[in-house]
Amino acid sequence: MNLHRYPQLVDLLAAEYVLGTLRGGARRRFQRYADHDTTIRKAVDEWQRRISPMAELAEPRMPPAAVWDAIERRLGLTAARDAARPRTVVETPARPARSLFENLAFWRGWALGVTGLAAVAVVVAVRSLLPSATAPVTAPTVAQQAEATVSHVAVLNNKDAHPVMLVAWDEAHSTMTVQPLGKVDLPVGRAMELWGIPASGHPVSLGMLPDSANGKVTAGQQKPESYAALAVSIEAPGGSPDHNAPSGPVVYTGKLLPVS
Amino acid sequence: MTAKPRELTPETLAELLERVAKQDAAALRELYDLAAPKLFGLALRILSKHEWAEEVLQDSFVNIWRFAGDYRRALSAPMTWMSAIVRNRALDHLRRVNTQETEWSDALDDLLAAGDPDPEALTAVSLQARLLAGCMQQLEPAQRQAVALAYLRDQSHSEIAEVLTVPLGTIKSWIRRGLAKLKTCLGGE
Repeated sequence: MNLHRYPQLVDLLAAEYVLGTLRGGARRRFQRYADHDTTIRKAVDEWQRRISPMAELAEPRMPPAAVWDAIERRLGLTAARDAARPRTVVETPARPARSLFENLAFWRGWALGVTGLAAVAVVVAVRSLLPSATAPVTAPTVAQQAEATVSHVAVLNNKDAHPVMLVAWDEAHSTMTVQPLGKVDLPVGRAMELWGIPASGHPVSLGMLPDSANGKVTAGQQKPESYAALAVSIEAPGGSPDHNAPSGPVVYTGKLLPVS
Repeated sequence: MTAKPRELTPETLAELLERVAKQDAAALRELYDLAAPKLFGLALRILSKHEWAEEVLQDSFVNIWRFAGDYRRALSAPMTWMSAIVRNRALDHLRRVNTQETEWSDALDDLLAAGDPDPEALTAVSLQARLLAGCMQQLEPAQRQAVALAYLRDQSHSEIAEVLTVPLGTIKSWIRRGLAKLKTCLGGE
């Protein structure tokens, strides 16, 4: 068929092609014509120009801050920004930057909201397994002074809300026992850093985790009561240059709950 | 959200896109502050579910960052270009998820409300979009609705017929007449 003899039909087909109502075989045939025919292509372009601005007519709505944080994280812009900063190790809590608060709000919300229920369920289960009286969760890598008593537990989930590791905090002995629950995806040459997330304020580094996510971490002066949630970020070996902010992506989070 | 230091004009946006193409992270933030509300509104209108719209907005800005170098001033207004990215991502998303889940009643109200954009909001869009808004106003409400569902939801004639509960033939003629009116109003050739 010589479409040129039917300019009105060509125009209608072009319009419905752009609008999306030209479908299936008809759409594919028309696309083929357009590929080889400048007149048809021009008709399509004209309709693109007329109709595509429709997408702009929506009422503006303010997106939640979490969206920007996720974009920044996915593009690694936070890491770039932190790398640009001089590498200084601050022992006392420094005043966090604004963008950090934004980040924080995101994963705090994430940890407390989305994974909260799952964590509660696991704590109930863990309570029966974990020991006020029996052996520690994993083979001890550090000499045990006495029997372990777990005071707090966090189930850290990945972004798909799948549990990845269990952190059992023994407050009496200032140790945390970490145990993998799922597949831990650690890129080669990277390390995992554990963070305490207080209900308000900036995150605090709780130390580096073993690559296997299996073993013990010394809690030092840290108290579980200070934190509402725990998080794990992927860092260069040695950890984030800033003890009050992860520099790499936060990959696992979970609410920290008392076991009692 | 920071105070808006600049106006949402095509010139500003095009300039920011050029900086984004050179991997300027500060420019991306500025672009986001200026354009995200508009683009989020679009994603919400197509998807109606907040969490989906957030995901799509996020994907869209990741793509804007990656493909800003492909943007050509001569071909389209920056807002049109970014809106096309958001629309495509949103339609992809709709295809992936079960479309049955979409809450039609709310979504339809939103689509219809679009026939009546307030002049204040329109200052933020391209000239072409303002012209289109004026022309959409001249369509019968039913025609406007059918055209908007087709484009913004990527729905077929029969899907629209089902949503609006009218016969298929009626939808086809609404759309055909709607398009003809738009063409007369917007001019062409």
